[in-house]
Amino acid sequence: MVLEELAIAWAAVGVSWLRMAAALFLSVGFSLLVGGVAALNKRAEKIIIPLLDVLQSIPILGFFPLALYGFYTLSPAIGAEAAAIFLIFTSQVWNLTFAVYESIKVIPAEFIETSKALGLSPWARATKLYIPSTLPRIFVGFVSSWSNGLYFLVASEIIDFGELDVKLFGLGSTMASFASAGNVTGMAVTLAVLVAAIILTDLFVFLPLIHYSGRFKFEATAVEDSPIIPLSSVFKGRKLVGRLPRIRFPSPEFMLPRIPLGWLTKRVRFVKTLLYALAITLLAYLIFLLPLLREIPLQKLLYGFLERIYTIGPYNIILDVAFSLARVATAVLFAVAWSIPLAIYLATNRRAALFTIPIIQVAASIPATITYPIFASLLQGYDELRTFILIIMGMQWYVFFAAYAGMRRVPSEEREVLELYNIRGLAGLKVLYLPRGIPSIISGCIAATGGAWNTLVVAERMKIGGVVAGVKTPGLGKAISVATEMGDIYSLALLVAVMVIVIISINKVFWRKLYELATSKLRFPEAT
Amino acid sequence: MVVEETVGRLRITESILEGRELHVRFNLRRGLVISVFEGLSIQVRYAEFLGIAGPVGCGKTTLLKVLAGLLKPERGEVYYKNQRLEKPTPAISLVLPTTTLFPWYTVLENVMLALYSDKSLTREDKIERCRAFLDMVGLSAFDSAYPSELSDGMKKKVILARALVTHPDVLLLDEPFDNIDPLAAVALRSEIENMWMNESMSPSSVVLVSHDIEELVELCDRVVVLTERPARVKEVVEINLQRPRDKRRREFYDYVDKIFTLLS
Ligand SMILES: Nc1ncnc2c1ncn2[C@@H]1O[C@H](COP(=O)(O)OP(=O)(O)OP(=O)(O)O)[C@@H](O)[C@H]1O
Ligand SMILES: [Mg+2]
Repeated sequence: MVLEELAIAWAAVGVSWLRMAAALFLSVGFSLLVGGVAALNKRAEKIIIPLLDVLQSIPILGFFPLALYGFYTLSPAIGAEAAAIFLIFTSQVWNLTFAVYESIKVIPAEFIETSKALGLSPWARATKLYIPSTLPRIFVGFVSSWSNGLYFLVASEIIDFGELDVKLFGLGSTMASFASAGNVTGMAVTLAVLVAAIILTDLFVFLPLIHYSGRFKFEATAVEDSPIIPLSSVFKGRKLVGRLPRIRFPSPEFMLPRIPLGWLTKRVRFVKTLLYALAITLLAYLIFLLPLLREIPLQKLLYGFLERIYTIGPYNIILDVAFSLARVATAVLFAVAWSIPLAIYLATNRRAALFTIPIIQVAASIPATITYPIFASLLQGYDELRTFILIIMGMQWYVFFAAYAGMRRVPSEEREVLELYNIRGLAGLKVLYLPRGIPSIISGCIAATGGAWNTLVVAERMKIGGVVAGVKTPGLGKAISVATEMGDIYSLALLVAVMVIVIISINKVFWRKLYELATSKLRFPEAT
Repeated sequence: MVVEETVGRLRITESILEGRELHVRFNLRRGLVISVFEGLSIQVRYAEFLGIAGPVGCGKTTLLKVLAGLLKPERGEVYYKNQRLEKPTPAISLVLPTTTLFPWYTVLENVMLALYSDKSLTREDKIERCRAFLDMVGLSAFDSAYPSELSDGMKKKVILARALVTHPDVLLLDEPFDNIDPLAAVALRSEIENMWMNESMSPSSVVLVSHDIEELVELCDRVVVLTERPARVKEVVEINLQRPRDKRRREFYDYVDKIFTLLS
């Protein structure tokens, strides 16, 4: 019966969407408060911005089991729900906080002076000036925050957490139960309903919001107007959509998290970041373990943590890291390899882009995790391949959209120079497209690398509905997954801390250095 | 070959570059269509200095792009030495008003882009040739500078060097003296005129698009005056004045007035 599955799927989307909305609501509140304080108070800024930089690179999935323990111990009734919302919140909020921070930072000084001269109260200033000015970027940020959130929402619903057998009803669990029952219709219907819900939400919630917020833009930030593709031109010639001329399709740039990379590269130092990261990891653990302290004394908790360093052994940890690193690097290289040619092709062929880009956007907005239950029972015996596919499904779009955005910024005059002098193919890539695109591609790679590490926790080993699918070789994600299943909080804490250090080191030592090098070598006056 | 003699210079009326029955339209967003040419024909003769004048937005830049093979006309053809021109060739150089230099390359490397796909030259040859042209426009000291370190006028000169380094037969110039200081413009103008007059040097023919009517009368053998869009040739004005032309003479101003009247 398709109808039955349809009803279940819509109910699942409804429940999941409620979770998402709750998390988004919290995210907006948090971002206005924290982003606002960071933008308005110099001293707070110095602490908050590097902190956010660390927080946004923390692998959320690694933390989730702990959050779950914490919330569950607090209240078994709503613990799982709270943990899921918390997880989604952490995946949405940093992007938005940077958006708020940036928006307030770029308010022209005369507006702030005028509001002060008028003697507006701080509250009036907040509601009449600061908050409205953040709306354009917040609403644009919704698009990427929502798709990011969906990924973790589904993950939180499908992952097995060992002894804590919590089941959240929603998209992920529905998919998983259809998958384990071998119900293909059910899986197809769930996927279709999900895609429909994503498109409807985009069209009738986010796009009108983005459109509406256009009026709060200051002249100086109006650049963001251009990358919007009018929906009517996408469906040109179709009568049906003729009625929606006002609604515009967001450009692919909007799918990317907004991180002021040039700024961060200059101001945030590596060692300080690492220390921050460690402190945050430990603090987070302590907070989540607080409820557990009723049962286990603190010394034992700390002892257990240190003991694991010994029992797991540095050698094994290094091996785990090395294997995972190799997987992440392969995935990023793969994504770069197909993204650049396609991005150039689509950036130079407007007609092809007009129908390809929306398709890619829809494909990209499907949370990769929703297909994991299907993959769990597929490709048995090809574990590395399956893991590779799972990783790239989650992160390749970041690279593509960044590359596309970069290529679209290549001015047509520069392309004409290539044409005039017959510089084609690889030569054109070397002479123009790579130099122009590289800063943007690097920031896409950073987002993708972060995404890949996150994905590892599931991609290297997952247990869905009794099926365990994972690699035979070592891997940090696999180790985290095993520790989660065994309920070994100590190992979990240790392994996640290792992952945080690895992510931040790669980010700081490799990507940002590369970014710095590239922008200075290429002599771009502006930092993307 | 038809050869005429006017004021001391031989004139060949056969064309080196020709646009026949050109049709160009642009599709704007929202279904708007701009028709720029509906059957425009234009001839550039051997060894001539041709001027093009026309109202703002009538399609002068578009015309040069079509003549350079950069823009495909919807209908109509471009012939270079009686051969269909399908794509840009080093024999026809185009200088657009936008000074497009790649910021990540030095001045020398930017000029070398013009020779990039020339397989017959070694790298050393290319460097030497580009240096020579940079020297000619007076920028020999700047070959390892980056575009961001140059003034606007210097950038124009680099673009000019880049256009000349391929030894083109035809040089298409779109408002090359805009936005540079008047003294530099005077120098650059006579530089181009001298190169063109020197028979042994390229280019053989120059096409100059300009809003500055005096400039056109000073430099050109003929000036093609275009109408509003869709642009047609309103009139071709032959300038029969001895070179170097003296701006203070009455005949000079008669030509300026004539073109001015045609434009307004
Ligand atoms: N790439 C393009 N897409 C759409 N329309 C274009 C494009 N290029 C030119 N046009 C239009 O074609 C017309 C002619 O443009 P063009 O630049 O050739 O004029 P022009 O005579 O050089 O103007 P100006 O005197 O200002 O330099 C203009 O109306 C312009 O809007
Ligand atoms: Mg023009």
